[in-house]
Amino acid sequence: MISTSENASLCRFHERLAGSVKRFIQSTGFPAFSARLLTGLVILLCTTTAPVFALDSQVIFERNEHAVYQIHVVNRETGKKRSIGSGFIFDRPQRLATNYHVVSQFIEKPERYELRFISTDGAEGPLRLVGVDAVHDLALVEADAPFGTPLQVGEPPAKGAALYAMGNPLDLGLTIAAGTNGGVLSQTDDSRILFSGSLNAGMSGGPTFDDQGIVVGINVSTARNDISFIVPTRYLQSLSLANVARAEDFRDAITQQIRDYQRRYLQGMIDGDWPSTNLRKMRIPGAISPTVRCWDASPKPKDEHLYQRFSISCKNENDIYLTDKLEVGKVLYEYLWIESDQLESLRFYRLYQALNNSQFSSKADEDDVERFRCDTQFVDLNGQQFKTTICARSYKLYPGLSDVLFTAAMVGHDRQGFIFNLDLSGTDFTAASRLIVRMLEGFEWLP
Amino acid sequence: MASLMVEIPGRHGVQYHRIDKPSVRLGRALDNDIILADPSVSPYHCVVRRNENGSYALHSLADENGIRVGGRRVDDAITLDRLPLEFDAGRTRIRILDPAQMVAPTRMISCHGGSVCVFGNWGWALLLFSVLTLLSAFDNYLSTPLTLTWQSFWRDQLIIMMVALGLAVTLLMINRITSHRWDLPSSLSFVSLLLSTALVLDLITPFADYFFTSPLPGFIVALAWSLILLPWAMGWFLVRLNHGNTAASIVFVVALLLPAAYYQLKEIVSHYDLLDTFSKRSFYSDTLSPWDKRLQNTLSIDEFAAKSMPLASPDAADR
Repeated sequence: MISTSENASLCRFHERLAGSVKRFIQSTGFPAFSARLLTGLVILLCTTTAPVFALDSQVIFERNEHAVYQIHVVNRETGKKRSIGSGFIFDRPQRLATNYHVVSQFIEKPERYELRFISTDGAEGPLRLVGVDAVHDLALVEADAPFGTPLQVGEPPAKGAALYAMGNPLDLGLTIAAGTNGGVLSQTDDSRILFSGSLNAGMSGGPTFDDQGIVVGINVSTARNDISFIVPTRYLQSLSLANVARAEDFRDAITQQIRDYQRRYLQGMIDGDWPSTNLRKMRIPGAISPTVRCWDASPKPKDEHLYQRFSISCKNENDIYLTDKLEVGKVLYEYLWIESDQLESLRFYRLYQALNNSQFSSKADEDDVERFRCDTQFVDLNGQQFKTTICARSYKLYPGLSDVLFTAAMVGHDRQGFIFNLDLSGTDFTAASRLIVRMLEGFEWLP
Repeated sequence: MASLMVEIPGRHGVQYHRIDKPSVRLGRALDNDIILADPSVSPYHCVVRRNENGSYALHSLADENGIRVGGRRVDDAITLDRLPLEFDAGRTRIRILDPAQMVAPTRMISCHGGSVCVFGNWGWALLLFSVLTLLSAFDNYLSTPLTLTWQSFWRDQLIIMMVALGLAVTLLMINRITSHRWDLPSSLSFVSLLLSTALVLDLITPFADYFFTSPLPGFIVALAWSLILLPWAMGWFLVRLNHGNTAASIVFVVALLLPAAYYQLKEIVSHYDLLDTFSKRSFYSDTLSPWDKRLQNTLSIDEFAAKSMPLASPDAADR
């Protein structure tokens, strides 16, 4: 079933199509009468039968090229662009929707950067930020003068349906990329749709259309060739407008958004039922959330090794872009088992201690984060003793968010070792510590 | 004063000349009584003359660089009634001494029941070197969790033995410069003893770190080693065994060991955040011990959740 509004938009489109058919016929030298007749036929077709036409990429492009803009982050001193993205008219004539990561440099250093739009015909002007949703990587910007009619938005089509992404890749000019809907990703907390097509830098923030020419998503990121991600437009519709003028206030709002998200996300894990898995003599939590995937990470055994080593590494794909050096929302944990029946305990522990060296991997530097503060305790977990360390460092511009590193190494066995490492990026510390305790409770020694 | 002594330093030690003639001339020309082979000395530089009353005086003969006492040029005669007199003829520093002056007490070569015996004896040198070889082999064995083959084992083992021999040869050079002897046993014993001590400390300190659940014992030992023990041992070696000049030995030891001490201090500063500098690393006690001996007691999971967690919170750790 097609709703009335969808039907109407379809017809609007057909009228346009009829217009271009007419122009084409006129240019080929047909008499004006036949041109009018053909146009009338198309319109008749539209008003009477209203079939669900699948539009091709050329039509979608021509219809929407004036509604898609380039968004530049411009250095106030040099007047040159620092980064580029795309945006499209959304909700109001003077408003563009784009990605948070397109405008994040401005939020981080508003004294250094400003936002500007550039249209396909070269018109440009300043933009002001009116709303952000860092968790879903969305932002809204406004200009003083209207851009045009807002594009119509809707829900994504079924898996396998055609999608068309528009944007300005690498500043090469506005293009459209065809692909298919790869479905909603459960790894990413339902907030990402897999787009089996090519997105490239600069296309971020541009609209993704279905074959009816309706915006169903916002281009957001790419993993590798033809594996790209889009954000469903429903998050755009629920994006609340922040009534603030200063970038600092946007940072506070972003901190709050991410904290709320992390609390919800981690609490969801804590409340969930976890499958257990066995690693030699330990029973341990498996994938603690549908967003988490576990892989075998055991090193390749060699004949000369006098020990056996196995590991399982689990990770979510919920990387939320905060700044170019801070990706938050990462949940990464690994279990490592090591045993030997040939090494003496002294020799075994040399190796075991060398493996107990977990460090937090991140691009953050002194501008972004404080130092790690650590606390080491011995804990009894279902009869086994562990040397545990929890380390945390808070974010400088986003107080209330921290990186948390936890590590626990089993002690008290001569030639058996077990290490658990957990990394959580940009998280709420209290929620993180509750998750750690819940995970530790799941450790069980199998005699 | 019947006679005087003139002390002239040379590349291979000092030379002494007795002055018992009424006039003794010093200079670069070959018909002088004392010939000074220094291009900054004049052919006839100065003369020591006995006065009628039996006392001596030093007269400058040189126009070019002349005679300097305490850095100041003196062209007048200098009466030699207060000895020793130290002066510069060109770039050569000469001392005029009273033969009756006291000399420093004899340095004993104490090898009768004294610890110094260990150094300077080939038997001890080889024994200590063997101890070092065994210790490093043990360490090598502990840190290789693989099937050991002779080839792989000796490849690592040879490195530390070569380092030990290289250090011994370096000390041998110092020994040659300061005491004009080639004394390989003492430098080999000394190097072997030092490296063995370092290996033993490396073996022991992780247990202390685990016992106290803190890297502090390791830091203290490392710092004491590079700031106190090693400088003291090197100074002792240079002064006692090589009879080196004390001040020069101190300067040498400080210059040689300063980088190591700096590195140790930096580690501690970084670990305890004494300068509040950023670090990508998280510093925590990562030692593990096969004998689970420690001061810290074990918490239950509930105690851990209640007590320990807020400690690591960034808010609580705020200064």
